[in-house]
Amino acid sequence: MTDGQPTFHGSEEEQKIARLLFELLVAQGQAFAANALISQSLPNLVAHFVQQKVRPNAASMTELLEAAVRQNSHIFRREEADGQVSYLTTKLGRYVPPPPSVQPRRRPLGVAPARLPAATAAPVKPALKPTIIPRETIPIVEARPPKRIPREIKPKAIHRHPQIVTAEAVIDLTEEAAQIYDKHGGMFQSALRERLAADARFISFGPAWYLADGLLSFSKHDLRQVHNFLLESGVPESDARLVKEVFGRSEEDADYALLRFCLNHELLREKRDFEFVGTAEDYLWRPAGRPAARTGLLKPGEVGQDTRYLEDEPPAAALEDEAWVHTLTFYEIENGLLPYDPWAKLLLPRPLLKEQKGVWLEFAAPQLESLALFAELHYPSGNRGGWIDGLEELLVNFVAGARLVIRRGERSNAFIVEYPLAEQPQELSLLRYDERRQRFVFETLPIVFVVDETQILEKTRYKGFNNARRLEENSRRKSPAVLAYAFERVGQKSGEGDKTIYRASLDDLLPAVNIERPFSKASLVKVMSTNPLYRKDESAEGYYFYTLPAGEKELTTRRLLEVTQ
Amino acid sequence: MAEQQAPAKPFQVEQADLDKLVEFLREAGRPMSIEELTRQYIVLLRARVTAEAASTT
Repeated sequence: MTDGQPTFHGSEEEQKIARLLFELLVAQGQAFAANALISQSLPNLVAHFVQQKVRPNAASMTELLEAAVRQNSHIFRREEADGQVSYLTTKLGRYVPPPPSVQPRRRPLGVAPARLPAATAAPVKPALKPTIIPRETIPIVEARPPKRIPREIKPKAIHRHPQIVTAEAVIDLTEEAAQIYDKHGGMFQSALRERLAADARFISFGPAWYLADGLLSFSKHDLRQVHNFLLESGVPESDARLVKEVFGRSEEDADYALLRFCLNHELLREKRDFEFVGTAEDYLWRPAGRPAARTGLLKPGEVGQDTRYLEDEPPAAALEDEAWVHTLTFYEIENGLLPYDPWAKLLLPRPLLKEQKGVWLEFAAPQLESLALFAELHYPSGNRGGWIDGLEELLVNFVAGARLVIRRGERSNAFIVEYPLAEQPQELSLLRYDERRQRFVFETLPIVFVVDETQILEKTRYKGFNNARRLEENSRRKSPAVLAYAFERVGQKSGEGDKTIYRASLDDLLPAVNIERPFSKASLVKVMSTNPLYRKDESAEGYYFYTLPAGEKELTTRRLLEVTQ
Repeated sequence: MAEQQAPAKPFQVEQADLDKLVEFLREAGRPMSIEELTRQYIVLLRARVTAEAASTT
């Protein structure tokens, strides 16, 4: 026995069910003597465990219980009487059969005991000397209600201790309700939520529940008033403000909480007119179909496809110092957005509602003359990734490689953006796209903030982009084309037989591919390892080859040809 | 002599408890969080199971 429990044998699942069975029987026999037999029928046990969803059906549960008991015959005894199987044990964790003197009578009443034929009668053994029997092997009296109970040992009553049994624990209900909640609140919440959701009498909005037949009703005029108020406001408004401004109610009114709940519930039903863009703490609404207009180069659908790779990234374990530290890319600055990456997922609010598409955010940058702006987090959906849109005014102040530190603000949808300052300002010749000339150029800029030297697009390292035209949209949508374009810009060109090859390091490629399309290091490696045009340079760690397909010209040359034709 | 005990009650949220939660919400006249409802549910569960245990004594 370990920790008051016997040692269980069998497979992991058999051990688990044997342990549960033992705990269940011990709970059932809580008031029994330590060595009293505790019994429970197989059908009752199967019904209990199926209800606890240990196995989906009775047949499978029976099979598991039988196997577990077989493996743990040192703990349980299996008995079968009148076609019904029962399992027996004691609180000691082992089955000790009662001695012949107290063995339950198996013989039908009134039937004389069979006698051994005289010729085969066992010889009478000599009387044994008295022996001290260890306590745990003292013959035990079965505590199941016996068929005949001698008057002197008849129990006064069957006492039932108020307790319940779940798959995880036996819960003592003699404890205070608050104590029970503290210990088992999560399990009870989960079970209750499941039942409430399946019962049409209850309705919910977020974490709150009320009665379907107790809802306040709203006229079409009421809803039109709400819609008009939102349109006039121009920004999402909270349910509290709508209740106050449209319905003239204050927190002192008796029906204030109910009105808010009912309004939220009603607006959610009216999906054609209203969209929820709030958080668990701030319920915000705006007219449906009016997302903030994108001012970046790409349409929302294109950004969603570009950020699809984020959904394949492993989750981040934790934020360091409760901040999301992010190094900007050329793509993000040009499109005024941030990726909803594994660290952003730890910092930014999760959707409150199952069907929620996005959440309205506020960003403040105290170091940029207290710049404050609204943004929108687009949650991943279908085959699209997530991103935070509307940050052009903020990101235009930075260059690729700049490090932002984003923390939670005072409200659930408010965030503060900071950037660490460099010890010494420096002048760097950095890549930018000249819209007028339709070409990449390098421009010398004073940089006062900390930059990640490996991520900046500095002229000496990325001179291949100087005066280059950018990829056309059709090519930009294809990861291999974006990668080929980057290889041609930053790679070392050479020949391999009659083929042209480029060799480049992963570190040089990553900032370059992130000009046209977002990639993480992992997603970049994935593209290169699944496309035959790319291969690892086995002679140098972190280097790759790109082989120009036979008969094709470089993307640069093709672009120039297309332009001149 | 040792007392005997009937089998412990397997847990499930029973219809009777949901009926009482309906009454509870109706009397409160306001929506409640799942935490508030769970705390009330535990009060109801304790009362019911204790009463059932007492009735079999």
